[in-house]
Amino acid sequence: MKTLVLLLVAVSFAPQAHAASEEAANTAWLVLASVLVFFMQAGFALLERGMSRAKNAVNVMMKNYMDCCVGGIVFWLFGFGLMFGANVTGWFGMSHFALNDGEPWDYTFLLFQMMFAATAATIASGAMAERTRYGAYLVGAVLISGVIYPIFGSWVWGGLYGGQGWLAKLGFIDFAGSTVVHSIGAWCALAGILVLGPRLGRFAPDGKARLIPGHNLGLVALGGFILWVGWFGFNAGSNLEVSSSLGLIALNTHLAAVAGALGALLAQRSTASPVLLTTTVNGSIGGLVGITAGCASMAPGFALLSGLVAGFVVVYGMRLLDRLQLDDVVGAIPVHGFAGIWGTLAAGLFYQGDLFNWERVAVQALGAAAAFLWAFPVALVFYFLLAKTMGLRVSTQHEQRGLDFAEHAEVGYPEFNLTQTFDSEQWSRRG
Amino acid sequence: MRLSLRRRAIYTGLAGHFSDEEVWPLLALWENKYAEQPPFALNEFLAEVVLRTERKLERARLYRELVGALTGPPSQLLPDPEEQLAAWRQGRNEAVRQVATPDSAAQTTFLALNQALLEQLDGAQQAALRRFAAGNLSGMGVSAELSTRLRIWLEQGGSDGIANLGLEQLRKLLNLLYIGLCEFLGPVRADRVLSQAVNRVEQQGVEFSPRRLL
Repeated sequence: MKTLVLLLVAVSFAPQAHAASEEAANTAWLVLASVLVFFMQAGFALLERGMSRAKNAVNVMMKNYMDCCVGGIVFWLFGFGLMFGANVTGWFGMSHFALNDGEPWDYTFLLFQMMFAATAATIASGAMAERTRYGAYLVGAVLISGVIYPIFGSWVWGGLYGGQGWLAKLGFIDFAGSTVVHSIGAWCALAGILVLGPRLGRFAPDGKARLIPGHNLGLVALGGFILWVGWFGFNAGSNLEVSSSLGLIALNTHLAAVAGALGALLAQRSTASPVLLTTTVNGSIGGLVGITAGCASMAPGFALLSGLVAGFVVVYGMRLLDRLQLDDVVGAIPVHGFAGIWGTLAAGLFYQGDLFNWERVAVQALGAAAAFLWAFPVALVFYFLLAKTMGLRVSTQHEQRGLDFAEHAEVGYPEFNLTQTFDSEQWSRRG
Repeated sequence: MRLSLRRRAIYTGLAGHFSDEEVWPLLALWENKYAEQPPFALNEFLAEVVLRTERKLERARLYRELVGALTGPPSQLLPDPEEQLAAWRQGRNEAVRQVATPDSAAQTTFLALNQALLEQLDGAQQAALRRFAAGNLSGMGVSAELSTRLRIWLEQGGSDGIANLGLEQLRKLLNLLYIGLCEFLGPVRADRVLSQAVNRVEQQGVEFSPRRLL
């Protein structure tokens, strides 16, 4: 009899214990994924720093360091509520602002999404590097993290606390954010570089693009590797739970990245241009962006194909920007914008069990277009207003001296920087 | 702090923003009215400077520089301008001009730097750079007369085209040449050309460091 009672007790409590351990495991996984996504900030910073000139090295790091700081606060205050709060209209959330009193899972989810917002904001940094005023850039990062990104996100992912986004209702697939995170960041970047204009001398008087090589390709490669590592958290973390799906998501992520690098290599060889490290690294990141939407709903072979095509998209996208005389320092727009569009379409085209369903593809195309039509004009107007009020672009004198001197009074390489473009003994003259 | 040291500090701060002709009345104003006042009167002095010169100044920056000069090491300060100031007070402007001032030393260095820049370009590039600078003088914010003189100097050469330029204006003119270099050679070569020109002029052992024109 005693044994029977014990057995009954064990049976009746077992599901609760199991549920508790499941929630703990999911929480642990999402916190780990958040850490990985946060680590991507380091990857972006190193990549951008390596691709910029030495005289702007500190400025690049400062932007990447601080945009996730100010963006994180704004996302906690407004962004999370706009994106995931009760979404009655389908256009934006209206609860959970400045979340301070929630369930344990709310905090975990907020942490993870905060890292995503930081990623969206930091994409603009690379495109706008070497000529943007530090303060104005941070104000832009606040707008992206606090308004532009979360509102679009609510259309696709919103409704955690009630209601649903209008794109989600249509069946739009964007598992980890090819469009929601990457394209949105890229369209903001495009608006930024249009208002800024190119760096001094980036385009010759006859319109021909001039290469402005970065100063440390080792940092570019390291940044690429770190982003790659972080992306496992980005995509697999978006599963939001520990499940058997994680293997496929991670595998697809990796396959797309390797194929993206290969695609970039082939695209460069196909036009007999030299195979550049920077472009190859961008190809792999393009592959990662390209699989972000469909990593959970695609067979590995199609993931590889998605990455391969993304590599081509990146290379030809970079050339297109050169032809249009748009100065994107790190190639953020082709990598995150163009490859983001491709990835979003690929998620519809290669949907496992329902391949080439054109209705689904049409919804995907609508979502990609909606992202552009929302983010680009809003960012364009905002950057334009910033340029007219506090000033978006540094003076030509500051561009000559480098932003490390002009904006921060620090230099990245005090002992090794041999080029004289500013008076290092006159720090007090900066400003 | 002794008066001569404070005068040197104020002179050092002002010299970066005003030409020879402008700096003496301002320095005289400081000596007459503010030299014996407490440190916070520096703000009042700056307000009067802005009023008198009617120029758009970065007041916060100038304030920082003046405070930096007043609190920094004396070795960073320009020599005491007492003699030149006295000459200006007596109306002996010719005497002021004959005494070496920061601006005249900066002008000498600027000419050497300009020469060193041009020597690295071929004839066509030199002409293009001169034309570019001559056509874009509007951004320098100088008077129409000075702008005309600068245009003639850039197009035809000579030595007195920059005679009335202060340090800040010389910096702007150098930046204009740098923009031209970026246009014609690209930013990578422009940085290299500028850097090499600075090194060459430094090797000449000029009194006024070419880095201060950057």
